Amino acid sequence: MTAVRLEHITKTFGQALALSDINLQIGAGELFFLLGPSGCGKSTLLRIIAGLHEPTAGRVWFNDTDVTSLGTEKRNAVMCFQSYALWPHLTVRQNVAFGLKLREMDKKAQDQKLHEALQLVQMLDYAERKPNQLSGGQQQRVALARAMAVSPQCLLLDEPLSNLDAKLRSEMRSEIRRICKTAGFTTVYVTHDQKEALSIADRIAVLKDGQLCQVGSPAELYHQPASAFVADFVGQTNLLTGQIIQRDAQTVRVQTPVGCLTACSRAADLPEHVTVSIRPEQIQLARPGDENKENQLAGRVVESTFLGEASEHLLQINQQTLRIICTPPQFDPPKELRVNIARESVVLLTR
Amino acid sequence: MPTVTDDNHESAIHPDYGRPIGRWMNRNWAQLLLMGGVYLFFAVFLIWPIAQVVAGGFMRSQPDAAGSRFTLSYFQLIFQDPVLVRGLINAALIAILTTLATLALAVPLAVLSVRYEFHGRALLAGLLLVPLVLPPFVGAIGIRLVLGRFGPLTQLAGWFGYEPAMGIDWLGNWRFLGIIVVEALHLYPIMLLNLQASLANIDPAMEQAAANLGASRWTIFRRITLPLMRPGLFAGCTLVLIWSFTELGTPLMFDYQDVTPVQVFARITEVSVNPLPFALVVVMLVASAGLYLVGKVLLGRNFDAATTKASVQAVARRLPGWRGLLAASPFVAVFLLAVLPHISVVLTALSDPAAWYDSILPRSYTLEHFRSALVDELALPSIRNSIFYASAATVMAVVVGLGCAVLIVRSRLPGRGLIDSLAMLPLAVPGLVLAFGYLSISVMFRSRLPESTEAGAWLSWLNVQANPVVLLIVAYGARRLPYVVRSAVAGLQQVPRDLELAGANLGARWWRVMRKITLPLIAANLLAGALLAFAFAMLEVSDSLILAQAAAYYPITKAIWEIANRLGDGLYIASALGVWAMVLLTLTILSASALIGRKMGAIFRI
Repeated sequence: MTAVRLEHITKTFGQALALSDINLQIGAGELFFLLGPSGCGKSTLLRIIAGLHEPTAGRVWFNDTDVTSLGTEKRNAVMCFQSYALWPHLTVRQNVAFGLKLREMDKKAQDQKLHEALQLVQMLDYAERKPNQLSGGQQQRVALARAMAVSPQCLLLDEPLSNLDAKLRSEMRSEIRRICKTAGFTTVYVTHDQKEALSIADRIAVLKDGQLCQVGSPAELYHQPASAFVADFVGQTNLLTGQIIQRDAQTVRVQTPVGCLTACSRAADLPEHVTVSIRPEQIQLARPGDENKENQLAGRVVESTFLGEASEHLLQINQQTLRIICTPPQFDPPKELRVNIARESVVLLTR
Repeated sequence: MPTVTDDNHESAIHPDYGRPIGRWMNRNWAQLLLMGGVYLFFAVFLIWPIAQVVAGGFMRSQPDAAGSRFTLSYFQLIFQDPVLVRGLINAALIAILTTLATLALAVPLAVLSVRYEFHGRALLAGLLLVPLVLPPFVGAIGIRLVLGRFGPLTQLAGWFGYEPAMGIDWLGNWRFLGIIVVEALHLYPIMLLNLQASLANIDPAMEQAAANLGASRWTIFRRITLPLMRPGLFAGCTLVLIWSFTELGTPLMFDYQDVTPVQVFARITEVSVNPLPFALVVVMLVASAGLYLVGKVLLGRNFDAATTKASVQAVARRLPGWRGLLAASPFVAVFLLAVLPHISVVLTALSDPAAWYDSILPRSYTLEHFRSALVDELALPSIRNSIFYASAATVMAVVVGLGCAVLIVRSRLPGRGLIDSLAMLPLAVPGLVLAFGYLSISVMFRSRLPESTEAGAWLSWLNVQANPVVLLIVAYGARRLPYVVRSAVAGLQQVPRDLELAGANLGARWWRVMRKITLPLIAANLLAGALLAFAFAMLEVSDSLILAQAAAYYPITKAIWEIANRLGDGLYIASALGVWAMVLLTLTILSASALIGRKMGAIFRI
């Protein structure tokens, strides 16, 4: 079990700053996600952990060993490449066996691991094919198998499921979590897909423009985002400008374009001007008898979208559009809707 | 409106409005006509001569009857003659050892130049290509002097205390090795260009993935890099192998008789009465084709890159300071070694007669030979001849090559794949074979249609002995066709189809699009291919020695050969003539290199 510690990691490519002063602690056996929009530096950070890039400044620790200048071949931090990097001259079997052969292991154990890995990604039937005879999704699964087969100290996944169809993706997602947890290797998983991160991560680090925005469990990120960017990137949200007009020990009153809202007072030192984040699914349709509840709003429905398990509606309130999600889906909602928002769901963020 | 899809360009270019059917027919007629012309060219100038050689080897003419009969007796004769068998074995040995030597030179140079960045890399990589067009044939003259019994090398050995009274007979003892060294130093650029191209094409993630799984550098090189370089290895090895297997000029200059190309050349005067040379050439052709096929099976299996996604950018590692110098030193060393024969040619040309004897450098210098070379009765006409032949051949190669490239890349006509293979055929067929084919066509016409008949007089341009101009130009052009086709194909593939479609969409016809849009866009590629074809044609050996039989029509190489064999100051004047030719060529190749840059490798791929 390896814990990974990143200290003040900075990376520049020529003039361009890719990462600036990243500090992270990834626990042994943890399934850790790096989440961010493309170009935020998450893949670069992963490559630094893999030893494929050397940081411009800062140190990388595996447990108590400084591995900053250790070659990638000595780290046993195995990566599943975003471009798959399957060797076109070797078959699927040979690709997966490559790493196994480099590890001192008897033939039987090798075959066993090979078989397990191919079975896991459902590629046993294609073992004798060359990579160019496979579809993109199949290639991706081989790349995943190749990395997982060697049971590394640290498994590094760079968007490993991006090319799979939705059903296979969710299957593989839970498989990855199951295996990482049973085998106990530390896993760092890079993705821009927040659903993937929220569904299986132990903890998530959100990056933007080479900087760390927030680190926390999926629930923390979702319910207590530290910034408007995190709130918006992790799940959907409504962002409103707000001005605090009154505060006491438990509650804060904030003036927004949709009206005056009450929120729980969490952070003590909120400035006067804030951003208000409200998750669309936490906005409830008002039922008869709810008339006197706090944070009740009324608006005109301007657009409705059927999503399958839910429906989404855009509500127009004083020039401001509010997105709400209703489960179960509402068919033919009235033109005018009244909604309630619990004060716990009104999240105040520093602008 | 038809949908615009990748595999349906015709419909994309000719939407349903306008005059679709008429235009479609126009375009296809133009292409069909072009294809017919290209096939005719290949049939007459490539297939026919080869067939003629093959037939010459298998047919025995009946002295009494008019017809001829199939026979294997010539091959029996060859394999019963120990001298000829030894010639074949030696040719094969020279080819294999030369290929191994070029590999040993080119692999480290390719890795250094592709993977690392250091001061002067671009210049050094460019300089390394120069020896390719400096013909070993000319260099061999210089080597002959350097390796003379009392020449500079013997002097050098004297410094180390080895001073036999009779001098050292380097050429007698080391002739075989000398040929291999000279050929390897001439041909390594072909290998280098191919290896560089294939190395640069390897996705860096391929090697990173292996390193990341724990593989050592050596394991990565052996199991990942080398197999992925296979296409380049195949192209380089087959080209060098076939080239050195059939090389005539170098062994000839070394006066080495025991090798098949020289044996064929020695029997050339009897070619009209004795078909044995044909049979020997057939053996070489079969062996070359065999080598090509074996290479194709072992190395040539192409694999498309497995991934379609963009991957990591390849970054050459910067080597600063002394490490950069260290990386540059093999380039300098190989370059100096490769131009050593040519430097010695320059020194020979500058040396007073007999002044380069018993000394490392000539004892006294003169510019007299350069003047003599220009006033020699063979020299000036030969330069003029060569420039004319090479220019005409280049024009021919560009016209035919462009036609081939357009059909290969842009047409959807059946049979365009075959054009690709045919255009590359001259690389696999030894120059000697083609030269012999043209010669035998000439011989055939002469015997069937004497000059006295009307048809014979009309076909006198086919008679090599009377006037070899047409056949020489065709031979030069056909042999260089692959380079022009490759560079034109590379250029066409880089021109997005949409640029042409945009022209057509505005109402331009096929020919106008070609002239106004396509040609200007691939001009640089064409020019580079043309310059290369010109450079190779200028110092071509096999065709020149075999086809140019009348002094008035000698090209430079044949003139050098004749002058060098003259007694007295022949060698010096030949060297001076060689220097003139090299100056001309160096300028050509440098401009070609500047025009096309690092894409030069694309021209040498099969």
